[in-house]
Amino acid sequence: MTDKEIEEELQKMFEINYESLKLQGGHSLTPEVRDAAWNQVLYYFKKLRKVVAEKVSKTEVKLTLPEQETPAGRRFTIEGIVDIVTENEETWMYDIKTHEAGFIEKHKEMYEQQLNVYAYIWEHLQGNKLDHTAIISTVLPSGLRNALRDRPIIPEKVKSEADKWNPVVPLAFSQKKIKETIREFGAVVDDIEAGEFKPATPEELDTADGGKVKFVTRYCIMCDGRFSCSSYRKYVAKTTGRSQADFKRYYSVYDDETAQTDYILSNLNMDIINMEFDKPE
Amino acid sequence: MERTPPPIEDLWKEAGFTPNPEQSAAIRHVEGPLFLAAGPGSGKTRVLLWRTINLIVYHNIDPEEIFLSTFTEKAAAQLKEGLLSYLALVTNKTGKAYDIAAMSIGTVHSICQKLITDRRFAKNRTRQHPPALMDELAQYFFVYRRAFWDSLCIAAGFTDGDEGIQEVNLFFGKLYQGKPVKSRHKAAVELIGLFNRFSEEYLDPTACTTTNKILKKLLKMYRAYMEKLDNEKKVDFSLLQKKAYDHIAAFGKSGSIFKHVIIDEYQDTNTIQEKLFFTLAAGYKNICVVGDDDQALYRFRGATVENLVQFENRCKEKLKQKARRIDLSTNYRSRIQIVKTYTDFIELADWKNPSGGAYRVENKNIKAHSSDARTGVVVSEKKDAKFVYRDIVEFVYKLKQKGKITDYSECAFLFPGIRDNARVQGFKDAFKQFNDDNNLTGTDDEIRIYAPRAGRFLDLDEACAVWGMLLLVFDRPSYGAGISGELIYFREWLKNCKKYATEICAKDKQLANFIKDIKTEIETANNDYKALNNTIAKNGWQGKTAYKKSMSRILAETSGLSPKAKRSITNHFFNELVEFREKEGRPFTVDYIVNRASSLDWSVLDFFYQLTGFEHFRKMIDLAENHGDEGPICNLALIADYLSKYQDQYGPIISAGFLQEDKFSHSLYSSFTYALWRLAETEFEDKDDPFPRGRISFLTIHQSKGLEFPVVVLGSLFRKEREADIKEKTVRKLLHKENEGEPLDRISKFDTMRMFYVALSRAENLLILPQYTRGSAATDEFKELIASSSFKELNAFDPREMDKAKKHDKKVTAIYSYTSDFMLYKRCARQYMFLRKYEFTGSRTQTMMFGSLVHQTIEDLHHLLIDKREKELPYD
Ligand code: SF4
Repeated sequence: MTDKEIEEELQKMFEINYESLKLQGGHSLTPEVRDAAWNQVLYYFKKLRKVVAEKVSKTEVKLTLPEQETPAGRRFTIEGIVDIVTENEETWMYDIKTHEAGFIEKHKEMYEQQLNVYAYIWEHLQGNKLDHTAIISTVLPSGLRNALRDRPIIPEKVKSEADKWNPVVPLAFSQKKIKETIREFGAVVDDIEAGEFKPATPEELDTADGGKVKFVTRYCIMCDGRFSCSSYRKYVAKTTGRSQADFKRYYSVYDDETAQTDYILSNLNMDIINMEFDKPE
Repeated sequence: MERTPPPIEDLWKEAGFTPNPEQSAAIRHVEGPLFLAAGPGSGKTRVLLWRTINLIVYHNIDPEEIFLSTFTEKAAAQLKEGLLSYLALVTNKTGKAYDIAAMSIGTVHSICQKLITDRRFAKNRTRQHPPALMDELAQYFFVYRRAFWDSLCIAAGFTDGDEGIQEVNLFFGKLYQGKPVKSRHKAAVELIGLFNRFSEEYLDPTACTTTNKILKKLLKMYRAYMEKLDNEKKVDFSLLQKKAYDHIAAFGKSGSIFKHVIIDEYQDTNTIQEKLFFTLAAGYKNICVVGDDDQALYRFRGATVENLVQFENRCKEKLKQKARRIDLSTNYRSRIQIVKTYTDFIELADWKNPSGGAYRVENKNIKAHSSDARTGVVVSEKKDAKFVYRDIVEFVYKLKQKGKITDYSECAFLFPGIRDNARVQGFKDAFKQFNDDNNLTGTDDEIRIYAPRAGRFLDLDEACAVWGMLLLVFDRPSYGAGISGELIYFREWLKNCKKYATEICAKDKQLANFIKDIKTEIETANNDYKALNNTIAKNGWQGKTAYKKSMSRILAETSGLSPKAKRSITNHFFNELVEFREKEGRPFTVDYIVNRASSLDWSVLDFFYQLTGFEHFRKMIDLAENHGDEGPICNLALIADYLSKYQDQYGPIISAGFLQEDKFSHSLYSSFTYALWRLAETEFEDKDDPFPRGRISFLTIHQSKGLEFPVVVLGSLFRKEREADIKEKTVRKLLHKENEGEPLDRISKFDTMRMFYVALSRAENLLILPQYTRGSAATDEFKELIASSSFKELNAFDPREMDKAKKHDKKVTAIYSYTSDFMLYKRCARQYMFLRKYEFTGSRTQTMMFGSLVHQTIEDLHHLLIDKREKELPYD
């Protein structure tokens, strides 16, 4: 199979998955979101084919920790999914994520905790070998995304941006804190079942991760529940010094002009605008 | 190193499962056809689960070689969870890992979709592009739209679309004062039903003959419909199954792909599905069907209970093998008296087949596992309906007061049909009255019901409020004088919604201001649109004129243009794209540019979420957040779902061009909403609804399929017998099957019996039957049942006879994902609630689906590359 053939096949698989997810969930994605997803898949292949994709020995391995018990006595099972690569007698465990690499770097601890649990299941329960763990981020860095938006596309620029990109974030793993994590997991299960659904606090919203992006910018802006969220509203009132009455601007749906441009570009459909509607009967 | 698995009995023990001899035999059956006659509450899900584990772990069947279909996605998900969990149990003992990702498990529809693109059925092992699937609503619009409707009619030989409407309605007996009605809506709905039935019967329209002139044309329409879909690479739900069957039938070795074919709820499968199953099972002959003919409910969707009743014969015919029948007849759900009641009930009809045997699987010998012989069935006193309602309501209240039920959601009211049902209304009114009389209204003790499908969904408070707000912003189009029928009522509904929204705004200044701001925004967009079009006219351009970058300066200087529109026109990135498209010879049109510059920043779904920030709506979400009533938030989630369906049809962008000539409001109201409003009368809205905590659910018996409740009230003991469906008659004639299946004149009775059988068998501890004096009080069989049983009356029943309802976890086990549950919850529990608990449809990012799409495709890529590598480096 040539690269081109693989890419064609990849495109087909993408469509198949899209259609079946649509069937299961009953919804479609807007074209620009679909394109973004496609670019992540395509560049994952282009970028990581040599290092990971072509060497994967086991894909989407489901790691399951069954029949655990929560503090309140509920039975539950923890599930995680990883890919395994074995090469030169070394075994890597990868978790592929649609989060940004920079974010993962900054939250190493959180992800290490996750990989520790996965590693525990893989090594100790299932008795497999493991040498390294890492997270792969499929999110394209903004330089590459911009290069792909250029018209015409300048292949050199795309290439140099893609070369700069490092989607693999290696993380060390250990058997530390496994028990605590599992206990914490159980407590979360209890909270979910008991219907505890309080938002992050206004202070948390105002806190930046690793010194850069605030919680509110990373999560709340994308959260459809923000309008009705007490924390978000408090945050807005506090930071603007305005009364909650005047949140119109903060309620604007999108203030990122680039994103808006793309959004309109891929969704404005002249056929719909020119559609004729006959009088209903 | 892999160790040998412990005996299966050890696993059962660990999982807290003690199968009875029949269950155990069913689980251990491996080879040859198997028929599991599974009565209500007989633990068939566990049996299916363990049987599959047995195959995988103890008989080395690769999960990929198993085909397992269920009736709903939810049931499939539950089975998958169980499999994962128990297989992991084995893995942890043996070190052998199992992967069920490639297993064909799901609804028949989703497996069909997989089959079409399954490499194993493709001659050269490359996958096919999948056809795009239209859901029911999309299919309706597809057929209903004027242009396509007209072309269908002309293809069929009608003079025009109008003649087509009348003839189609004539065929289906849709008459008014002796003349066919002129409703395209009605014609389209009927026609779609017939088309679906044709597809499910695998009917070839070119091979059928008929003397009926209209039917001849309908067959032509069906052909034209299929051709059009083929050209557009689309399928509807029914054709998807036909496509899948054709696909595998064309492949010579389709019987040797699956070693095991397992089908749950077999009584509700149809003809094309049966063909599919037997074709797939032709090689290994390991077909296992599970079901209960007495619980067959879906004839109106083309299901044929004969598939189950005749299964043993079909195995002989098609597989030349005798099927083994195992009866799962122990009921683990209900008290003895309840079991006795429904088993007695079903025998009251005459099921005899004059040519021998019966139209029913006989000798099931269903028995209760429970030894609790206390009262399980009570009747109301025989009274005028409104007193019966009242008595029952009061009784339910008492049960709660006495702690016999801890939450109202443990009690369900079931009805044959819920829409426009006088009984439903009667009970609703009685609840209201009871709350008022006892000063419960507004307190924590208020008895609340949840009945989103009683009446129209669109008539619910939450829906009226949201649509009302939309109407305040985008007014309804004028339908002029001289409209008639449903449209008048629809217009009334629109008016009322608007009125309701106005009242809400009057109480909320912020909201009123918000609406005002939004309207200003729209006005600006409209002004920009006009101004830009002036400039265009002045320069002698047309809408279709190719847009050049050089024109942007002139457009941007249009006087009175808003800054936003100006920015859109001068946007640097966009102008580069303009130039590029110009060079490529695919320029934008001037029209496109104008619409781009004058489009709003938000979609209707965005608007909806903004609304939730205002008190009227916010309160509903706060309630859920604070452990209160979940009803309103569930309804809001359903509204978001509908609005996103609108956007699936018409796109999310609202541009000024679309706002002209009421196009947008026609799309939103006259087309989409009106369709929902009218389709509400069909079964369209019959789907999985949530069971909000704190509320008594009002359900159709169909919706209650597969569920169980500590207390069940059957709201009505009557259903009118109807003539056999015209689709049924038509199909039998066309296929020369007049003498097959259940006799046309007995179908209605049989279906009624089965439906009530399902209803009666839902109750665990207590089943309450009303006795009305007047009106359609009860079917003959119910009268007979009550006369021959000595049921206690409500007032003679001592609630102490009832145990406190056990909150038993019905889930086999609950699986939580490390990332999409644990991590998401830890980040923000409220966002978790939004996305995972109430499943609000995302307005833009749709993170969930995005993530799955990327992950699944990367997984496929890995498989492809692994495959490729294995081929290049064969084992030596
Ligand atoms: S806006 Fe959304 S993500 Fe942010 S705190 Fe509120 S619920 Fe959580």
